[in-house]
Amino acid sequence: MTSKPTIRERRDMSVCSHHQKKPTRCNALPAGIIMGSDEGLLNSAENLKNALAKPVFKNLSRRAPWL
Amino acid sequence: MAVIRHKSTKPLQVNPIKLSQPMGATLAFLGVDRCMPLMHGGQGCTSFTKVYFTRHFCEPVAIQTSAVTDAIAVLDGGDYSIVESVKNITRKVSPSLIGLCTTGLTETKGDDIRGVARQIDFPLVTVHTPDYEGGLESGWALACKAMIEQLVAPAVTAVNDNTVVLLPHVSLQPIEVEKVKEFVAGFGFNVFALPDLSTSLDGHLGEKQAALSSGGIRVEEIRALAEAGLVISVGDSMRSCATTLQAKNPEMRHHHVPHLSGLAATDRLVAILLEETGFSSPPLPVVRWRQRLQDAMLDSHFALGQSRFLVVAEPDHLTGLCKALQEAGGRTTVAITTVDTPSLKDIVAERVIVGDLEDAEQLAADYDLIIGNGHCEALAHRQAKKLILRGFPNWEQVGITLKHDLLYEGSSSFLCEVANTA
Repeated sequence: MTSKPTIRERRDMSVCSHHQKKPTRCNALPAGIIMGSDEGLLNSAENLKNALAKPVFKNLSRRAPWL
Repeated sequence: MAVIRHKSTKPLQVNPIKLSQPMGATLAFLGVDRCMPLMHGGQGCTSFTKVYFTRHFCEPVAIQTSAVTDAIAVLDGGDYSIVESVKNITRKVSPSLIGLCTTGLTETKGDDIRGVARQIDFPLVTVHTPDYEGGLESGWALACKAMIEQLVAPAVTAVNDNTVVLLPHVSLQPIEVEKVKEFVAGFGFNVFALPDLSTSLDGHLGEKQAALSSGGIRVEEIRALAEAGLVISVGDSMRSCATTLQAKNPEMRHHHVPHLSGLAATDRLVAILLEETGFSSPPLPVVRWRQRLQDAMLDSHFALGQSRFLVVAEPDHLTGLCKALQEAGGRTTVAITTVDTPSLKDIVAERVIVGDLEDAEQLAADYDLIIGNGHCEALAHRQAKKLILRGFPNWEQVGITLKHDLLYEGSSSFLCEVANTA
C-alpha cells in the first residue's frame, strides 16, 4: 500500500507552464535563476519590475472618478 | 485587434447557441407588471419559449399563443386568430397590457398585426420579431422600443431631474437589474427600469401562482417615462431605445454605457452620476467595493493569467465579460456570439466569431476554460474543459437569478469565481 503524497510532494510533482504541460500554480523557481546574493537581489528586482509591468497593475491603479 | 468573423460560411448551425427574436421580445414583456405576452404563430413557437423560460427561471411563466394552424395560415391574415386570442385571454384574466409579437411563420406570410391591433379595444403593444433575423438580444430591444413608441406619452410638463430611466440589455439577470437600480438610487435618484425583471422573474415566493407576470414596471409608469430627466442605456442593443425615448422629450439627457462589468465600466457610470448630481464623492459602500474589486483583481490575476478563455454569449454580454477578464489579466482566445453587430469590434478577444458550438469544438485546443450558457455543458464534458455557466438558458443550476457580475461588487465575485475555477 502506498502512502498518500503530502501537499509539498504534490506541489513538487505538479508541472508548470514552463514545462509545456497543463499549467497549475507554479511555486518552483525556473531552473538557473539565483535568488541569493547580489545577483539574486538583481533578479528579484527584475521580477518585481516585470510583475509591475503587467497590464493588470495599470488597470487596477486607475484613478477613481471622485479623486 | 481581434480577428472577427462576421458570418458563418456553413449552410446550417450545429449545436446552435442562437435564440430567437420572439423569445427576447416575450422576455421583455415579462418585465411589465400584469402583462400577457402573446405570440402570433404556431403553438410550437410558444411552447418552446415557455419551456425554456420555465426551466431557466424555475417559475411558472405566462405566455399565450394565437395558435396559427396550417388552415388558418392559409385563410387568415391574423385578423381572426389574434382577435380570438385576445378575447380568450381577457375572458379568463385581466391583464394591464398584452404584448403581441410575431414569429417566423406569420412574418413570412406578412400579417399586418398593427392593423389588427387597431381593431381591438384593449392596451396592446405590437412588435415585429421574425425568427429568421436577429436573436434574443435584438428581440428584447425591439420590444422595448415598441413599448416606448406605443405607450410612452410625450412630455407636457418640465422634466423631473430626480428621475432616471434605466434601459438594461437582455443578458442582465433580475438581481443585476435590481443592483444597478440600487446603485443609481444611491445617488438620490428615483429609478425606473424598462423592462424590469428584478421584481417579476427574481424568484420570489408570491401569495399565489399568478396567471400574468407578477411584478415589473407598471403600465402607468411606462406612460410617464418621458417626464424623466435622464436615461441611461446599458448595452449597444439598447441605444436606439434611448433615442426613441428622447424623441418623446428632447430635454431628456442620455448617457450610454456599453456594459457594466469591471472597474473601468463602473468608474464610467460613477463619473456620469457624479456629474449629474454634482456630488464630490459616491456613497461610502461604493468606495469600499471599488477597493475590494481592486484587491480581487490583484488576487485573481495569477490564476487568470495562466488560463485561456472561450466566452460564449450575446454580443452585449460578451463585451462585458471579455473586458472584465482582460482587466484582471485574463486572455480570451475565442469569443463566440449569436449575431453580427457593430459592437463586435469592441470585444477584447483574440478571435471573435459569429457562429455555433461546433466552431467552439473545432477550436478546442485554443482554450482551457469555457464561460457560457447551459448549452456549453456537453461541450465542456466532451473536451474535458472547465466550465462557468453564464447567460441564458441555464438549466443546470438553481439561484442563477440571484447571481450578479456587475458593478464593483459583482465584478469582484465574478473574478474570484473564475480564478477559483481556472
